[in-house]
Order: sequence, then C-alpha cells, then structure tokens
Amino acid sequence: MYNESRQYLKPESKLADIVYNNPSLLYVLEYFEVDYILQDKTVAEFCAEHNIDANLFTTVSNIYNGFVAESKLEFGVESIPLIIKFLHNTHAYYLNEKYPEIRNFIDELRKVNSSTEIGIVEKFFTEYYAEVNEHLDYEDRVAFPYINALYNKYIGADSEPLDTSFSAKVYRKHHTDINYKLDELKSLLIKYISVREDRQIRRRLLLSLCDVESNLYAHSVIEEQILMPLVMKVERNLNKVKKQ
Amino acid sequence: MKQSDKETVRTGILEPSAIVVNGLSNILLKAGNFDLYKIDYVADMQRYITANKLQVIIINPQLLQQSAKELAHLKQKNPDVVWCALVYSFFDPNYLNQFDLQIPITDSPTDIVEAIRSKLNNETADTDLSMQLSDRELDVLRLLAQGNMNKEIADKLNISVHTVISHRKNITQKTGIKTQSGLTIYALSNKIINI
Repeated sequence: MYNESRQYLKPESKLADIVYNNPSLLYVLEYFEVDYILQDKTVAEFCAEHNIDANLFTTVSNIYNGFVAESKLEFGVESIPLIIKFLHNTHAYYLNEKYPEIRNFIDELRKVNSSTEIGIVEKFFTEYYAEVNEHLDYEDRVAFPYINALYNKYIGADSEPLDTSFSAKVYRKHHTDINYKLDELKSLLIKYISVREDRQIRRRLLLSLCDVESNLYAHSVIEEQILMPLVMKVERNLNKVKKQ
Repeated sequence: MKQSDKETVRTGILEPSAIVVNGLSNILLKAGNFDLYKIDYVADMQRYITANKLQVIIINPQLLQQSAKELAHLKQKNPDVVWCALVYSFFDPNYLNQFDLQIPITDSPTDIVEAIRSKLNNETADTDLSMQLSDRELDVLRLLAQGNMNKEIADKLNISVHTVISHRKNITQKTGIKTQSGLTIYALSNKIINI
C-alpha cells in the first residue's frame, strides 16, 4: 500500500533497489524464508544462491507489487514444495499477526464508538474470520498435504494411495467469498458508518484491512494461477502413467 | 441508459511516448468529460480496468506485440470496454480490425472525441443506473435488516420469494452490499431503520 511508484521486477533488476522502493516485497522474502541482506545482487543471482526459480520469484514479486499476472503462467513442477512452503508462511502471517491485530482494532473501536453499527461490524468480522479460518485450515489440512503427497508420488518417493477429498472448486469458492466480505467491510467503514471520536483508530483499522486485503489477494492469485495449474499438470501426468 | 455528453468517460491510456500521451490527454480533457488513467504496463491494465471500472482503453497496438490472440483474450474478459487502437505507424490491417475503434493520430480533436463517444453509446447496455432504492426495495431492506429470512419477508409483504430475491439483487446492485450484516449497517447508517 505504500508503494506508490511500483516497479516491475525483472531477473536483471538489482533486488535491493526494488525492495527499497517497494516494501511489499519484504513479505515475499519472508514467505520464501530468505533474509534480506541483498547487497548488490540481481534478482537472478539472488535466486540462484537461494535455489529459487528466478522466474517464479519474479512473478510472485510482481503479483505482490500489484501487477496482474498474465493469464498463462508456466513453471516447473519442482517448484511445488517451495510454493506450498510460501503459502503456508502466508497463513502464519494472517493467523498469528494480522487477524489478531484487526480484532484488536475493532475492540478499541467499540470502546470509543458504542453505536449499534460498530457492534454489527464486530459480528461481521467474527463471521468473516470463522470463514477465513475454515479456508486456511482446509488448505493446511487437506489441500497442501494432498499436493505434497501428489508431488512425492510424481517424483517416485511415495507410493501410498492419495486422499481424494481435495477439490479445486471448493478452493476457489472460498477465495471469492473471503475477498468479497473483506471488501464489504472496508466499504461500510468508509462510506456509511458515522465517525464518533474514532478517526485515528478507524484509520489504523482500515490500513490494516487494506494490507491484509492485498496480501490475501496475492495469495489467491498465486494459488489459482501458479499452484493449481502445476497440480493439474502432475495429476494429468500421473493418470497417463497409470493408463500405460 | 444512453451515454450523454455530460457523463464522464473513464479512460485508460497505454502509450510509451510521453509526448503523445500529453497531447492526447489535452485533447480529451478539453472535451471536458474524460477521467484519464495513464497505465504504464500492459501487465497492469486489468487491475486498472477492474479497480476504476474503465470504459475505454486507448492503446498503442505495438504494446500488445501485434498479438491478435492477446487482444481477443482481453476483449473477451472485458466485453464492455471499448478498445481503441492509437495508430501512427503501419500495422497489419487484420490485427487493427480486431479493435473496436481505430484512432489515426492525424484525426482532428473533435473527430477523436466524437468517435469515442459514439462507440460508447453503441456499446452501453440499457441498464438503469439509478442509485436510489425504490419504496418496495426499502420495505425489503427494512425487513432484512430486522433479521427476517426471504420467506418471512415474502409473507409479510404479500409477494413471492422470487420477487424478494429479485429486490435483493437490485438492492445489492445499488448499494454494493450483499451480506445481511452489511445491509443492516447500511440501513442503520442511512436511518432507514432504528434499533
């Protein structure tokens, strides 16, 4: 949200320069589990050093920088474990850091603004959070283990039968609902609910909501446009092997 | 509803030359009713279209790498947007014809503005964009905000559930709010109900 002058990242860009002006990339580095002592390395050098596909890193960074991903993205299936790790780390950020923070702001907001509307906002958030939790839990418990097992089978490390309760459709529906509700909450706070001595706390709440919104959006783009096509590729491949 | 000359046209411009962008912007702004968004990267275009509900995209055809396929994909994704090619060098006519409108750079300012407007009128669907809720919609909203289900609302207003759902759709379209909690907050804030 701070990066007014968003820059498009390329493999030959100096990573430190980009991070300097585009702080949302700090999230990307954190989720990839790399530290940011970047010196003068280019994106390509940095990725080679950390064993990350530079193409994947560039695409993910640009998504976090607010650029819309192209419709057809192609990556190697060997990046699957890394993408899962990345997404898993985003979950930890939402659950341990962001949502408690938002909950806290709403509690404070209630203290200064006792209107019925704010009471409903709290209810709204509680319902929304239950939904997010269900989705993240579904990913951690069902989707990611399934994809990991699928990958292990693909590289021949595992021959256990797969748990087939995973559904790409359920996955997608969750995303739409979650993004929609967050957007509505923001819109209610900006457009309708009257301000009562709560300007600062409302600003903090809104900025926090915007932050989690763009972060969640990037998260769902990565899942739908990067991860799912790879999963489908592996599934197709395994089916072919089975038929032969 | 017809696009009248007074309404603003939300327009995105993708063109690498700053001189051309400034010239074109001046012409459009003088016509008085364009909201202009300068888009720097093709990769960023979809976000602008969605976020700012752009109605018109004026793009240098070079930027789509002369790929008719990519243009077709964009058009399919945004059927309501008028796609204009800003033409000042030679392109394959088959590719150019895929755009909704071609703007030769030698055209006069009036011609340019008029061409865009008339294209827009052709494409704007007959939707009533009025944001005011009707009396019946207000009735439905009140009952909704008090926690009634569709069936209960239908019984109380003596209408079918189907009609209630249709009113709800319209309310959502006009207010941008879909959830019951959200609509309750809306009704309270706008003093449609009191609790």
